[in-house]
Amino acid sequence: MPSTLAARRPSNPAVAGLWAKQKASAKKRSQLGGPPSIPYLFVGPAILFTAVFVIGPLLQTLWLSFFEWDGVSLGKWVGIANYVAALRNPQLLQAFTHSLIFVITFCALPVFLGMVLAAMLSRQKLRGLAAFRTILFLPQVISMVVVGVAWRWMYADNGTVNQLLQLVGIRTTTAWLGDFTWALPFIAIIGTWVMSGLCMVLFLAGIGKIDGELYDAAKVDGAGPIREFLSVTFPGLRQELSVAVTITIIAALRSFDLVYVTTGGGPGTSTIVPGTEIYRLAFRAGEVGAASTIAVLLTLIIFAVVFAITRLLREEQS
Amino acid sequence: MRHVFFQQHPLVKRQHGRLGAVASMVVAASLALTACAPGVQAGTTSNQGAISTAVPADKKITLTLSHYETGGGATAIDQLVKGYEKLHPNVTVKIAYTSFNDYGKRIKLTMSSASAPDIAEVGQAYVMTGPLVKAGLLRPLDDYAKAYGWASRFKAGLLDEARFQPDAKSFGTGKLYGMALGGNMAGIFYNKNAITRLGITVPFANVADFEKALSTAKAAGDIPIALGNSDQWPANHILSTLISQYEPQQKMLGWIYGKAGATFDSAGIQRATETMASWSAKQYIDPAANGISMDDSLSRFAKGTGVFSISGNWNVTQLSDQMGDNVGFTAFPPAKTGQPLRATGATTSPYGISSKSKNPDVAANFIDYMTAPAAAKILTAGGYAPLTSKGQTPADASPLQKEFNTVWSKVLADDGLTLYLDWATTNMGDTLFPAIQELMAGKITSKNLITTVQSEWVRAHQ
Repeated sequence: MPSTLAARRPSNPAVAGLWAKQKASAKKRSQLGGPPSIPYLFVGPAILFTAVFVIGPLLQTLWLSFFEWDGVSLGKWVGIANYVAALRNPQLLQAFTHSLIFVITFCALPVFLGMVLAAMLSRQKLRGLAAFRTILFLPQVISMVVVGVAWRWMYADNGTVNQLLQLVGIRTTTAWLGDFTWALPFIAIIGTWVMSGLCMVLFLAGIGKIDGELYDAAKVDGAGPIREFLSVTFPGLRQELSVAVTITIIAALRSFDLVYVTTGGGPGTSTIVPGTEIYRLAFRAGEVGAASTIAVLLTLIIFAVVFAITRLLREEQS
Repeated sequence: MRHVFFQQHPLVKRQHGRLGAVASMVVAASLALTACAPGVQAGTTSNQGAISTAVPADKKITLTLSHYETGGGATAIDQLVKGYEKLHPNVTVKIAYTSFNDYGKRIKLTMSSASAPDIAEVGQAYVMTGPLVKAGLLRPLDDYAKAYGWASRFKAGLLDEARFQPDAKSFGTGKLYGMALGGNMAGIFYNKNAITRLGITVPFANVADFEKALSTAKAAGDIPIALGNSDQWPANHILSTLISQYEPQQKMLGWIYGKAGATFDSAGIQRATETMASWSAKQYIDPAANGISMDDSLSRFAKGTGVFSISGNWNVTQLSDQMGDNVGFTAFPPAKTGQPLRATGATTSPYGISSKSKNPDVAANFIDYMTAPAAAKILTAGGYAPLTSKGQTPADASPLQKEFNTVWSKVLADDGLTLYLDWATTNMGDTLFPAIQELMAGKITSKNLITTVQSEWVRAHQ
């Protein structure tokens, strides 16, 4: 990214030298007739697209969140009233609480499982490793709507899950997604199924990058598989960990399609998440301002969480 | 190493210097673009002058009609358009179809755009018609209704559904904003083999009679009422059908229409809600209902699981195709033997005229053509429950369709449709449907449900 490079101030002498050289060549270029704005031509399309399709709508949403608007007649400016109402709304609090459970099953569990699977698969030469990887990664490729419908059938009163339970002697005809206690954890666990493969593939790639000599050294020092994992594999996977946590936590917080397809937020309000609330307010209740407010709050929370994670994992390393 | 990673990480990339300047310019530009209140100014309809019921024959006229009908419903509209174009060769009717899922999201934008369709299908109540009326995007049709005599064509109740107050705070009274092509209604589908085996006979004389049948089915180990309610709305058809029997019709309609002083907290509604709760507790309603979808439940019913299904004519085609002669339809019985039939049902979504239409006279003429007795045959063949007595069921209709139409015309003769409870406020569906799920699971009492629902009603109508 030339513009980022050009904007960053050099901090050590070697870089400063390079910096000066680059500046000089840039000058030469411009003397030769090339305008200094050429780099912008390269990033221009990307910036334009981002501005029109990401930043623009984001600001529009922020703007709308200060209005009471039904989506068609003239909106009324209400200042921060939507925010006050949102923060006082117990249903929204409930929705965000459900998101926290999703964070566990979309992020914590898959990262843990992915790490264990990757460590095990990478320790020995396994026949058909590629097949394993593909199968475990498959859920990531399937559309969430398809995933939702498939699991809805498996969780039905006569579905696969109850048939399996029957094999181990538990006779039940509970329709899990219709149960006030179980609907949320059962939807949440679908996230683990979807995300674990992604984490595993990320970690396998990361392990492949770790210097083999480190493993040899660990063996010579008499390290067992667990010691080896803690001393060599895990420290080598920090970057992949950061990526995995970031991706999965965003998926957890902004989840919508899965809930929408499986329960629509029910039974009662037992599985509502911020995503379904935004949809409901904007497209069914005709409260576009209130919907935008939740969208803005959700965006801020996601930014804050991701920022915190990246900071945390960075400090751990230094 | 670590540093490289963070430079590449899109979420923590810092924006310094000139890039920052570019970013803030973008910000400023976007703000400038959006620095005005969203939406359109209401109430500036001017085309309310003299009207004509004649279609000028000397110039080319193009009408646009947008709808979300599929299958037979869409075919019937196509046929009507062809017939009309034959009658008026200088008029072209362009059809713009949008799937129902997208239609509701787009209708507000479509109708406020410069290229709004002349005629648009608009769902009743506050979700679609309300905001469009409030924004002045629909043209009141009372002058045309008078000129064409629409009021004498239908039962009064059928036109009231498309009437709205100008502030869009209540409906059922006020100006007329649309005309419907047909109707829909819920009742009892039953599995013929199952009721024969159980010794149950239809029709039912009263609710107690039906309840006895449910008890018989349960005792025999059957699922009495098949229901899939994970979509949240289907169970409402059972509750509102029960309310229709116990609550006086005018009070129920007054509550849905937003009549001042109406209340959900009445003896009739209390009785209906308690009945619903007890049916769920006794497992007369499939205990898995909240966990399976209506589609899944219907295909189970078609395969023989469940003796009854309380739903509407939108399922006639599917059930008739899958069950053949093994399925029947009967009216939900009144509370006391001999009382007139009352059923959850309404007209289908009415067609309104855009206040931006350049040819409102022709648009109204086409709506008149679509809803005239002469069109009833085409509409009925397309699966619309006929709104006029001229709508004879076609000879090649399925037995189930014929049974439905028989019940339908009886209810219509009594003006006995009681509409849908979720029409009462914009948020009523989102308040009532989850509450019914909670009632069915025994999480709340019928008293709780009534309080919750009524406070949403008060909130919306204050």
